[in-house]
Amino acid sequence: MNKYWVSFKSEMQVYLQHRADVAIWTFSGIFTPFIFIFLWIAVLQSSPQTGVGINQIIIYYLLVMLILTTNSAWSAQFIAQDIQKGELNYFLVKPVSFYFLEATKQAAEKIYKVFYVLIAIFLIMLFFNIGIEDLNLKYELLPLFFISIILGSTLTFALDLAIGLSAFWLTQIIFLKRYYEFAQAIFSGEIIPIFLMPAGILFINQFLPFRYMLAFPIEIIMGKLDFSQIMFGLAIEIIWVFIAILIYKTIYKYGVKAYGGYGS
Amino acid sequence: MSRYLKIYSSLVNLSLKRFAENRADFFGQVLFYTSVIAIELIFAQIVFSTTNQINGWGKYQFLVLISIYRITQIIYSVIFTSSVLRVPATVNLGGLDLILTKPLNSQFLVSVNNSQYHQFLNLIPAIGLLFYSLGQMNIDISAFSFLILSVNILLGSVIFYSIYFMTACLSFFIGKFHSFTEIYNLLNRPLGFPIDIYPKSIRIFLTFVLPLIFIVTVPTQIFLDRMPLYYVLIEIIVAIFLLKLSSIFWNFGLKHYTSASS
Repeated sequence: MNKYWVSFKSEMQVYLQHRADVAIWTFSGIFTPFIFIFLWIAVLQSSPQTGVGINQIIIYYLLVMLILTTNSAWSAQFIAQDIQKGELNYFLVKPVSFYFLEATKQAAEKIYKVFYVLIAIFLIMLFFNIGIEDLNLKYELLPLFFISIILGSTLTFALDLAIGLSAFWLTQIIFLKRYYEFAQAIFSGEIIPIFLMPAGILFINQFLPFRYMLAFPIEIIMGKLDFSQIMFGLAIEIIWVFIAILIYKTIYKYGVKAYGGYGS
Repeated sequence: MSRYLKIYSSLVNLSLKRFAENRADFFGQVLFYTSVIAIELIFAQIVFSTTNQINGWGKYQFLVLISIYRITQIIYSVIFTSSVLRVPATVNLGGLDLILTKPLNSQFLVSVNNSQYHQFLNLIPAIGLLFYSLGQMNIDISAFSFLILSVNILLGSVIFYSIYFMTACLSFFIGKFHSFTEIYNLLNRPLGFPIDIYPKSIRIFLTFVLPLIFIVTVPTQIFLDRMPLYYVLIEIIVAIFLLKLSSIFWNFGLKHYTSASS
């Protein structure tokens, strides 16, 4: 355990050196939801019959910014590069778990990113004149909210690793990654708020992994789900986490055997 | 001038050879772009499912804007983006020496030396969306309007390039610029929506401070007769001004270039 703690501290120092870069990465990550606030406000002003309030949309996207930051994963392209250049060798000779080593990198960066995103959220709340009392969140559901975030970030991370490791067989993972991100943006609730999705998509979405990466914790804390719906969602989320880890482990197990270490 | 054209045609030739090496990648890109356009259509369907107008924009006007955004984005991405993306690393690792010693304008060379011309075929789905939307609007657009639109799209690409290139010039002063790729995303993302969705303060910012409005919204408004034709002149002035400014930024940066790590 100590070796992962050392890795985590070392990564923290790396990101401390690159504070401005981390700030730009964070703001870039939340920029899309920031723009979508304006689009959906314009939509709601044009069609009040939707029954969704403007404050509700703003709060939804503020939470989207937070969860996008905690649940994002970016290892895939770097893992793929390491495999293609044979640089995975440096890792293979070390007595560490690939999964946990990558996790320390992500966790270290997220600590800084969450700090920046909370500042951004505070500024956006000032911009839209939203006070703490307007948030109207279900604070009694905070434990379930945090559980769903932890499960969601594990799901996102395991799938991201699996995509990166597919470079054991694919020469380029860029399209796989792009299509995955594309589906994630559409179904997770990033570009279309979950409560404005058409009923058909909403039904299918319950069984896809994408909702649990972003919208599900938001639905919990905004009080959009009753207790049985939360339990059902958590059960599906746990199943997806197991599936994602299984996919990752299978790809890693067979991939390392197929890996030639060319170019190292 | 003929020397530049000759070199430029060689760079185009080289880029097309790269395409021949990566044919599967190319077809993957076209397929991906077609999927993006299909999703844009579905997205517009959802957005306009409860209303006919959003701040004065109808569904098909919105789709015309999206298609012009995509066309413009493809043009500046194909010609400039992958070259400009390399500028910080070129400056930081001292690779600029190779460019500075050539008897050519260094800004020209760093801006087009890695263009991806084969990706121009991505224009097909975007142009398809434009004609589909115009067909649904049932309006007659003259050949002259298409000509003006083409000029405006090129001017919009120059404006985007100039702003993006100026941010790349920061690498002369701040050392390693790891997050430079994100600058492209930050500049690119607001372009795909009508300016009218933003509040007044942001509209003023996007017009006078960071004039992104001239890249997609103004060309679309002129094309759809929502803005008078003389705005083309403003587009030309803004494009020339920003291009000149980018050149001043580049030359100022060059004075601080230390050729470290070369």
